[in-house]
Amino acid sequence: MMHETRVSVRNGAYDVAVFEGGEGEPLLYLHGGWDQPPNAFCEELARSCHVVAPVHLGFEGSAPAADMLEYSDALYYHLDLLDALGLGTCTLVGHSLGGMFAAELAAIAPERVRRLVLISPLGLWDSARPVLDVFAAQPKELSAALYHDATSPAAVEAARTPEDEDELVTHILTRSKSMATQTRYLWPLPDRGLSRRAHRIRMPALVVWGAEDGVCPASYGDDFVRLLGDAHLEVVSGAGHEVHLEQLDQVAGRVTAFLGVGGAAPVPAEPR
Amino acid sequence: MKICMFHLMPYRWLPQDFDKQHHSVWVDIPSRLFDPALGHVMYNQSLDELEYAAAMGYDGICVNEHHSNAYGMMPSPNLMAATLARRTRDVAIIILGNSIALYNPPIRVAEEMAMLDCLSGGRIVAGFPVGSSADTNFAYGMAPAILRDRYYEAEELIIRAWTDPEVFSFDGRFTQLRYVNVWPRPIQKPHPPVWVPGGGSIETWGWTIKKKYVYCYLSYSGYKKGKTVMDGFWRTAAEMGIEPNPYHAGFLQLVVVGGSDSEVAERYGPHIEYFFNKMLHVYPGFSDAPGYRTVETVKARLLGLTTRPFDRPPDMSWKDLVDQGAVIAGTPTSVTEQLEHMTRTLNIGHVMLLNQLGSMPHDLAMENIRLCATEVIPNLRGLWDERWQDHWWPQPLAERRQPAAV
Repeated sequence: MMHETRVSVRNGAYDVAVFEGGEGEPLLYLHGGWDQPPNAFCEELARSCHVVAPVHLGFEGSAPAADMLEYSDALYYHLDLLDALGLGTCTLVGHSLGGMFAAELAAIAPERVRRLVLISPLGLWDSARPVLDVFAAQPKELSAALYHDATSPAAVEAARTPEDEDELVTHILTRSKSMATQTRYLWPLPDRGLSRRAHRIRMPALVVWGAEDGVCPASYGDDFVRLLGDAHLEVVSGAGHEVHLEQLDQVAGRVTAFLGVGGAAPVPAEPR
Repeated sequence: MKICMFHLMPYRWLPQDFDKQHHSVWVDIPSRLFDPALGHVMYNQSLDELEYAAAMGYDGICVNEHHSNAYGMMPSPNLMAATLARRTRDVAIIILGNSIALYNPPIRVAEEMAMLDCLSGGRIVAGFPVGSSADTNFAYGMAPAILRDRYYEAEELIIRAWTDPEVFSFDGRFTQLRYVNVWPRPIQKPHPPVWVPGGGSIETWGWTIKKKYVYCYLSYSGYKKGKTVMDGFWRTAAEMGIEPNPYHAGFLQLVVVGGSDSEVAERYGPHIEYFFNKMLHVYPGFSDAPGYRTVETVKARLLGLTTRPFDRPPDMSWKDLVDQGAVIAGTPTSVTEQLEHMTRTLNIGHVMLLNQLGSMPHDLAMENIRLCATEVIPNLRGLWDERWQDHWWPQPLAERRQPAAV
């Protein structure tokens, strides 16, 4: 089981919630907008790695993101975060917004990232294949984009709202904060120039996508593979944007296989 | 009391099944629904209506800013204010306002409003709205999470640009300028009165009071629903030790006047229903982007301490709208009584009347303005004056030039 710790980043400037658990190689997990740790996927990875999953600034539990005015502020913040967590080098896994951050981190500090896993990352934009406007989408539309099957256990869990009135207020405010924070990086389009820096990402990389991703179409997986030096794409069927939660076993299995942990031999990356 | 006419300049020719056939009146409304020749008619008639209100004795005329919106067709209120400045003489020109966070650099607003103040002889009110989410976030692409911070910084820069006699440098988080030197300067000193149109965000209450600006609540839901917001403003004022001068506040109200209740219902009813049921067909996802409201306001709303301007049930009838106070309607006597009740209950010194709305044709709007000006406004004007002074009204030059005849 993962446990929560507090980490001070940039000499006390930011107090950050971090969920940690498991033994083995350090794995930094950067979450997206709808899978704030602790989550089932991190728990699963913690069976074979030492998972470190910080909560982004501006999300419930961590310091506000008020200083993240420009995108570069967020990039430097993540370098500071690596330092604060004592992660000289690590395996880096990111999803959605966290996938965008992970790719950026791998581009600015490639020497610190041994292997990279991007799970339906954001960060690229093609007007012919628009990423869903998640900020204008109504709850039903968004849920359908996040989860392929509304009756899957992960979708049901995500749709659950507390019955207690005070808890409900907290729940709404927590969600409201996470959505608001995402607008800093994803508004009006989820593209901050990653494609101009992605050529620096040369470490072995795995890109995972849900075949029915309604937020960011799976075809963006090909773009990521094309931009990265040593990456391959695995498309998982029966899954929306939250592919790692909806098809937990499959995605965790492919990730651990790629990392060569949990008994599996490392899968060699495709030669280019 | 000051009574002003507020105009949205709506496009009156949307199809009757607009709300069934289209996604939203705002942000992504199809451009093929707009006929520029009708736009020509609409702008000129709308300006005629505002100029007529001025000639008939309204204290002020109000313009405002919306983007990609069929019911509010003034992307640039300053253009409208400029033409009104030339065609009117004494009336206050209330620009409600410029969404100052959108302009880069924001001194553009300081410059244009200074031009307008000079042009009008010191008759302008400078409105500084944060701006609606649909306008600022969706139509103009400003990230909701930083909009408010940009707004505060822009206000600081504009006020300093108007008041600092020296050229200065500005090192903001969003705007950096080596040389700030607004030229021309406004006539009104230290600067034109600032009014802040709010949409029910609770932090705007305290901020406008701290800044000594007028707080205006501009909603279409009328005075009964608007009371929650105005009560919040006055409660905040009391907590901050500020006396309840009604001129510290402004309020927008839809008003139609006629010979009898049934005549009013018959003549205005369909046009008002058109506004609420067709023109306020705003896709809910565009009305409130995540982060547009602060966590404090979201929480206050959950607790029922404030409300938002676009909440509306579908398909409201004329009777619903009258009952809810969304529209004040009736004979001059009845409208006078209702408006007096409204201003006293909400404690409002600056009342803005929406006299044209929805598909209301020009002739009917002109008649409405005439009846308000001749049979309603004179009965209300003295309200408040025995006790309160308006510190937020334009102070024009005593001697003003008029445009020469062509």
